[in-house]
Amino acid sequence: MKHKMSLPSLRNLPTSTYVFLLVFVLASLLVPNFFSPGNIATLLTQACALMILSTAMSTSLMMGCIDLSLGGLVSMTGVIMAIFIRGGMNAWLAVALGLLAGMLFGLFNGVIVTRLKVPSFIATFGAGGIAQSIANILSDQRTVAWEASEHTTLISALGGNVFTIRFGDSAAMTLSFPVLLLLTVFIIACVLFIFKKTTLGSNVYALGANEETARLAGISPVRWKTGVFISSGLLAAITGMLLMVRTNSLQPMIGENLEFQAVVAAVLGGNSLKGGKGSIPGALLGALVLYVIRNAMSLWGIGTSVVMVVIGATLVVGMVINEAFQYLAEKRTARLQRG
Amino acid sequence: MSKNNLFVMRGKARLSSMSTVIIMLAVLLLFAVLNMAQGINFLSASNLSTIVNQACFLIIVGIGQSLVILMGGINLSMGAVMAFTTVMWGDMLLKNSGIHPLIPSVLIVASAALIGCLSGLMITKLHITPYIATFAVMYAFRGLAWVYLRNRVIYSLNEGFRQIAIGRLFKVGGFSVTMPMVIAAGFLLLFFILLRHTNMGRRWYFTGANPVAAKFSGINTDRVIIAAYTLSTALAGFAGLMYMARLNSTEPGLAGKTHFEAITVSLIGGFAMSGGYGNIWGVAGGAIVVYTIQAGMNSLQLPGELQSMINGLLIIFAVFLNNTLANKKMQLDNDVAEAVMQKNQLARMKRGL
Amino acid sequence: MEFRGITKAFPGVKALENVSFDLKAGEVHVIVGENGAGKSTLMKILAGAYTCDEGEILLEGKPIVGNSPKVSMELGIRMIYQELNLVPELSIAANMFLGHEIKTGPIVNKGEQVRRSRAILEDLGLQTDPTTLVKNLGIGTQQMVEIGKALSTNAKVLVFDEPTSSLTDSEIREMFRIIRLLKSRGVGMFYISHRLEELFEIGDRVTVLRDGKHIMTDDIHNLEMKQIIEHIAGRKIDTLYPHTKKKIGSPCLEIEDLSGERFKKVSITVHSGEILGLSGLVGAGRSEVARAAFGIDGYYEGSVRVMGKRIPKKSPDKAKRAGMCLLPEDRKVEGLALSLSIRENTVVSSLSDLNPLGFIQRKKEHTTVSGFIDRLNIATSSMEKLTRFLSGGTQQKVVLAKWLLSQSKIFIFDEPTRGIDVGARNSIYELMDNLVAEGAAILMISSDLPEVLGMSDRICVMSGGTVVGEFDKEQANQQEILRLAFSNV
Repeated sequence: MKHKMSLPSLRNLPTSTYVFLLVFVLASLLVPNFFSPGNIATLLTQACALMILSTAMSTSLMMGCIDLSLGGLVSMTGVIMAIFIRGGMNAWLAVALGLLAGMLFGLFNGVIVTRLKVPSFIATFGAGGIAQSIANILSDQRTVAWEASEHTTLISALGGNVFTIRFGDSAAMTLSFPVLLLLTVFIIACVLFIFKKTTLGSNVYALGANEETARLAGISPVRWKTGVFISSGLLAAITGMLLMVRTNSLQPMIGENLEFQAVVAAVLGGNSLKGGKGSIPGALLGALVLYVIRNAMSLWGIGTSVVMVVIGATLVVGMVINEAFQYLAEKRTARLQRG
Repeated sequence: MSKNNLFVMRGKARLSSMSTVIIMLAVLLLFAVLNMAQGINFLSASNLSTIVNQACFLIIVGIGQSLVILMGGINLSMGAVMAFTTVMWGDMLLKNSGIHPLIPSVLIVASAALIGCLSGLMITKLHITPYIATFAVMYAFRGLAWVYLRNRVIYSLNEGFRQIAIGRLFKVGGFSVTMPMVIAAGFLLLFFILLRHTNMGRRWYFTGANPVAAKFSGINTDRVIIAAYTLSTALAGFAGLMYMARLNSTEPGLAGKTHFEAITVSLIGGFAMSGGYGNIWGVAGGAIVVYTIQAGMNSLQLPGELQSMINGLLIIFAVFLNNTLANKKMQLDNDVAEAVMQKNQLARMKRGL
Repeated sequence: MEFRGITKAFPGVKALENVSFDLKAGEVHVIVGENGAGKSTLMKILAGAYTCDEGEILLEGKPIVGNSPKVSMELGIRMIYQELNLVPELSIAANMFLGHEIKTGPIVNKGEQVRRSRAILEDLGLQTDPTTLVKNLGIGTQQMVEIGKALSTNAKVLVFDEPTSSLTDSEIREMFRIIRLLKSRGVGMFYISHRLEELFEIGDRVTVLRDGKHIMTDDIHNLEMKQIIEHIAGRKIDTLYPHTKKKIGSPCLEIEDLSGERFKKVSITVHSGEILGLSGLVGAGRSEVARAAFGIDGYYEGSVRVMGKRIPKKSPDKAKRAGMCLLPEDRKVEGLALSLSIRENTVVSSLSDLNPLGFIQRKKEHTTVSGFIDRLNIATSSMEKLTRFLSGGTQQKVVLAKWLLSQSKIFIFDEPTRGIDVGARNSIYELMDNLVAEGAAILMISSDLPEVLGMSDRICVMSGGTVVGEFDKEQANQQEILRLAFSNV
């Protein structure tokens, strides 16, 4: 029985697993120093922000919406936190206010989508522009930095490492496990737990598959959609905080284009822009694919412009691979149904 | 159903189809009043001429974007293609290159068309969603532009060539008619005829409204979609020519936000993201709205950042208004038709009796 | 339970007018009527999706207050819709408890849900594992899950809205078995269907609605099919299936040894002046053959010829030009652009013929389309009316007009009357009959056996992706067709 149960779960792996494995193995084989504890930790830390955003994006996509305001929100909430900290406010309070701002903005998105019936693509596209310009106005388009002192202990604590292990003398062989990464893992675990164990997951899939069905089953589209937009706002604010901690300052354009990357990660992870399918783990792997490429190519000493070209190409190849695997899966299901 | 009532219903239906015009007039009026308070004549002929002239650049990318939005798609690659193609052939347009500017111009538009064709192929043959396919193209070609030119800037172009963006033709009152206006009007007219008065346009609207039914009706939908992306991106190439002629230079970072602007223009212009709905003249309205806001806020000396905020709000509002009014129009049209039929039936019954 | 004086108006239309009748426990109450007669509206009011303007619904003598999907569900009223309402990416268990999960605090108790769904499924006689994702199930099983979903809430009143329209015969048997099982447990059921034959098999009483009004309610065994049809249509219908004597001519459409993903070595020839009925179970590969022949999907090998000329793969435009057309089963998705008008939908396939220079000629277009509106008797106030506002039968006529205009000679009808009411059905049959009388060839795919027997000159039966038998009109009978249909499953 146990054996039988594990098989279907293996079959239901997100298709991005294969793309990820392919990219990861290739990078490990071809790029010296890629497969080392130090580099893997660095890679993961770099990917933190995008991974959190991808969980938010894939939840929206599964629900049949899209949240293009994430990037703008990261900038806006980051700037809000940074400005409060610069003004001497206790970091705890500043972060809390930033998170609150993110949730409020998410509420704004939710209201426009559910009440005014503006398609989420446009509503959040517009809202993203609004959030980014708020960030620019508040910061006067200059990087917000602050003096470290009493009230910023939280920031320094978050910026530290949980532990450091040395496997060798070189930097590559030093494994530093940053607090940020731990925090990210914790947050993603929380989201996954809530998604799997409460009604959130099934309701999101139901709304994405057919909103009318969901409504007739007693699931309120207005309430759940608004809720997901609010939590997306919260996750974007957390991302803003992570980026602020990592650079110990905040550049107001930091969130620019992040929402695009999150869409790419989610779509590589098997999400569809039409909603109703995909998964959070898939999106996380999609985000990792992007960062493995970026990291491997920078280790190889290739300039960022070439990386752009390669990522564009990977996206196309990844989509084709996804499609191929899906085709095979459908064929198998068809066979099963007949047999 | 009284005759009067019918008349009112028809009027309402007509009004409901003019959301872009309503927004445009509202925005113009708002800034005219705000500026008046500061003692500036915002609606002066010369100021209007400036606004329209600037808007013309957006009209061209707006038409391009509208063509794919009409297909229910989206083209994120416009700005990147503008940068890549002009960077690629830009050296031939320099003042002392000794090559007739027509040659590189044709090359730029043709290579843009080729890239659009590539997007179209990815969407139809590889079944990649337009958003992702054009995003990949945007990323790849922006990257290639940087790879090709590195940090150089192509500067100081052939003066004759630059006339397409800065040329002035004649003045009517204080309103100067410029080359971009003529070009944009030409494109609008061309695409109006193409979309509304030809078989091709009819097939495009049908494919946009329901691609599956289009296929079942014997339309080669793949060809229609590829054509839409090819034309859309070719227009981006042409817009690239005009932008570079205006700036007298080009570089890989050119037109970084153009795809956003084009989407904004198209949506304010009344095109629906779901496809199959929209009127090409709306693009002109959308472009003028966007530039009116910019010019209006500039003359009020408000920070530029506030503009993108207003634009964001305006997109949301415009789409909300378009949706509401389009639904209302459909319902009203239907009611009018029903009322007419009822009246006719009544008349027939009376005659029968 | 009882309806009392239900009235509901939509803008411009009175959907229901003072409708009253009742449902007894342990009864299957059949509701029939044309499309737009108000059946679905009435059921949606019952389910709480709409609220009624006047009147009330009584359940066990008490009026239902506060109409909403949630209230209806709590009272034990459940709908089984004609479109399946399951979430493909979720498991059977998760679907069954969607919207009313078993929870301890905020945490869903999945183990308990799986246990209970397994019990419900076993109760219905199904062995499927409740953790299976719904997307991996066949349509029949999905329908059973849908019923199981209703049962998971202790339903007292069940509404079946055209439940059999996409089921195969054996699946319909299975469902009737379950309906009888529920009946013996005292569940009251409303049953809406256009297939009148099955109503006699399963129903106890019948109610006829027409134009939003209640026409009659009576014990079904006191009535004859013909009477019911007349009540539904509101006029006398002599025969449902017209059949003029025709001259069968030369072969028009020749499908030869066509093999594809879901069919193998299919050969079918249709002659001019002939209606060839293609019968078989749902999933036998009939629609797939039609789609491949018209070029919507590809095929591996074989050939398709029209008037002897070979049609290339995957090019509906070439098939169209050769004179072939396909009237798909799902008109709303595949047949029409619902956001465009009757005019635009009618001319879309004949643009090059109407306007050879490539420029639209409005006048010509208007006269042509209004000609078709008259000829096909399309019920509409104007040719500018959007097709989304038309009834199913009228929509089918618009699709037909499109192909008549493009001068097609070979018509492939895929389930031509699915979801279309009796009155409109009759007129579509007459149109088909006229077409072949004028020398056209028709390939009619249908799961409705009386329709196949009534309309066809020749009948082919498909099973398991191949053609397993062929009959002339005279030799064909229901038993033999069914036997063959099951022969290769």
